Amino acid sequence: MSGFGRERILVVEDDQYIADLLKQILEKEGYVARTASNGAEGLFMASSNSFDLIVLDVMLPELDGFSVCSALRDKGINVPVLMLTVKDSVDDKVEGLSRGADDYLTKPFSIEELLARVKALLRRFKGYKSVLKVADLELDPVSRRVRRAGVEIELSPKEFDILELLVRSMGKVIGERAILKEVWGLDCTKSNILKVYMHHLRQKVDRGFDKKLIRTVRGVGYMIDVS
Amino acid sequence: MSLRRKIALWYVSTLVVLFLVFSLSLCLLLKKTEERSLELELFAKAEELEDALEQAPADAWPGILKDFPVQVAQIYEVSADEIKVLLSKPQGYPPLGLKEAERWAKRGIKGEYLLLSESLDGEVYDVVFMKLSEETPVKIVAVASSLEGVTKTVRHLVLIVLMVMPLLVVLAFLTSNILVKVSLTPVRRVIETAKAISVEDLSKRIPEVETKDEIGELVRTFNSMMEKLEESVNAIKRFSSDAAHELKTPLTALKSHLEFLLRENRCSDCEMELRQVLARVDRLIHIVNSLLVLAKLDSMDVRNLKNRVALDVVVLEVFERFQQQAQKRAIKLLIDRVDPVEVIGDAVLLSQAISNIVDNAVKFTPSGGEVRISLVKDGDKARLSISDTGVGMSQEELGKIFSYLYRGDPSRSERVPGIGLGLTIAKRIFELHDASVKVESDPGRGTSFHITFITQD
Repeated sequence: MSGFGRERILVVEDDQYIADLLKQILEKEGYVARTASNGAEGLFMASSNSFDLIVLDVMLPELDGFSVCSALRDKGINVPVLMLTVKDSVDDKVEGLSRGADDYLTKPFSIEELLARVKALLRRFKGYKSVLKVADLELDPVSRRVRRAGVEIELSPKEFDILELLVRSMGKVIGERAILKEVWGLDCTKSNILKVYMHHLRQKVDRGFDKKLIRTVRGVGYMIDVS
Repeated sequence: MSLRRKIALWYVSTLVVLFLVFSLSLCLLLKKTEERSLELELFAKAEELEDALEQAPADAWPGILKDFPVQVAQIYEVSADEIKVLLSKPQGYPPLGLKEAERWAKRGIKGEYLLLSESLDGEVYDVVFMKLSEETPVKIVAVASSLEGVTKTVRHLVLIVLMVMPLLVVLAFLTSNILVKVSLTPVRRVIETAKAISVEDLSKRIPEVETKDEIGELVRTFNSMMEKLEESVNAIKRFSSDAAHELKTPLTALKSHLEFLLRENRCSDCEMELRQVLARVDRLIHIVNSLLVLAKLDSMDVRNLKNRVALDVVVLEVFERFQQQAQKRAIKLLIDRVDPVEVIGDAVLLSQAISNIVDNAVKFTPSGGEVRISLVKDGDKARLSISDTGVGMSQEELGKIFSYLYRGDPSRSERVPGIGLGLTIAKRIFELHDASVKVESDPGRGTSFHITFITQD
């Protein structure tokens, strides 16, 4: 089977056992996976080959994951990076994201979660790279930043996902069930979580503006209203 | 009493005692010397008078006696049965020592002197007796001088000493205070530095002093002690992070591999066993995480918590994470109201603390029950409530739930996985964030946790 058309993933991980396992798991899912066992090798492979995604461990011999990530960004390689780490402190997360990582996963993780993140990252970076605009709202799917009337709005990851979903289907009503499935992967409607999130999202996006962009369609769902 | 006062007090009292001893010795010595010189003078006078009297006829004696430069001079005549005063200067002066004169008349040899002290009218005199001639009736000459002068000198000296004393005490106290203050300044610095040192910042040292005295040694000892302390604390911190890596790497491999085998359906005949092993691995991961969080909490300082945390987002994330678990156990996990709230702290730790309480609520609520979460903002406070319709707890149990490794009634916790660290960790994290925790419980009806945060606007 040739690798043509399949997404290529580089796994940089110094523990051979885990590296091999991740390679197997990713290949079973239909990706092409390569491994590198230290930071320098990872950086070399990432710079000389074209990958669609890099799974990068933080604690690496020779060159740590943060350094690999910033070196890649310095070279202008904007491939999505998913960081793996054993430390679950905020500082580490902030450090990783500020060095240009796109997502962050704490070891030990479940492979379901790993695959979900990989899938989400690949989807995020495929195609839809341009900034989305609705009225005075701008949404950048790559840097995951949102501005309204030029002012930056801080959104939690889930809030961003909901807003992106609504903006992409601008003018169409999205059902609660569809949002829950798309954003949370949940298949139930009993939960009132979406109401809470929509409330927050409204507070952040529409508060203080005459033009309310998010509209509730009673009994159906939500939509971005540009009329 | 401060060390400074103590040293000054010791210094002053020692000085006073030394001064007293010195003054007393001085007075005694002065008294002795004065007396001695008075005696010598008296002897010389006696000799001179003897010579003058011997060379002159007896009728010239009153004239000689009168002109002789001495305070008191008397001549006695001692016969076989009586003794009388022949001449006296000053005129009519009481006899200086008739008994002694009589004794000297019998035993004494011409050319020898007898010295004694006689008290007369409360005044002390030094008296010298000598024999003027051997033939009877024996004539005895007595020359005397009062000791009044000596006593006066000594008394003066004592007066001076008593006057100088208070002045000396005040001066000594002032100088000692200043001296001690100056020499204790480095100790003050040691104290100030020691106060500024905490587990979070062990890098502070006291500026080294060049002196080879005790203070210099104290500073060097303190600094080397800090060096060792800093090393060992760093070693502990390194250990925590090394342990995290060393433990989590094999656990990651185990968990991923087991999940991979199950996902691929590779061993359909031992799927049950694999799932059981995976459940144990998950529990082990939970324990390792709990222990690492505890270790981290122990070495943590409130001052390190400075990030703004959107507590509502943390609460919602926890809520999402427990959806599946709650569904599996047929428990309704509901969110009542979540106000946007910001607090200062560590989002990961807060998430862990809230998860631990929700986890507890879900575990101890029977199927068909409810767990409700709400976050309500009220002024500068925010109240997070997690209520369940679970088994509840007695008052006695309530007092113990936050203690280390407590796991509740054994009959029902047997079936519930966990190690009893969850609530301990949660409470410590909340305390670290200045949040107060209140628990209400009704056995058989449910438990409510109320955590009150101070918000950041």
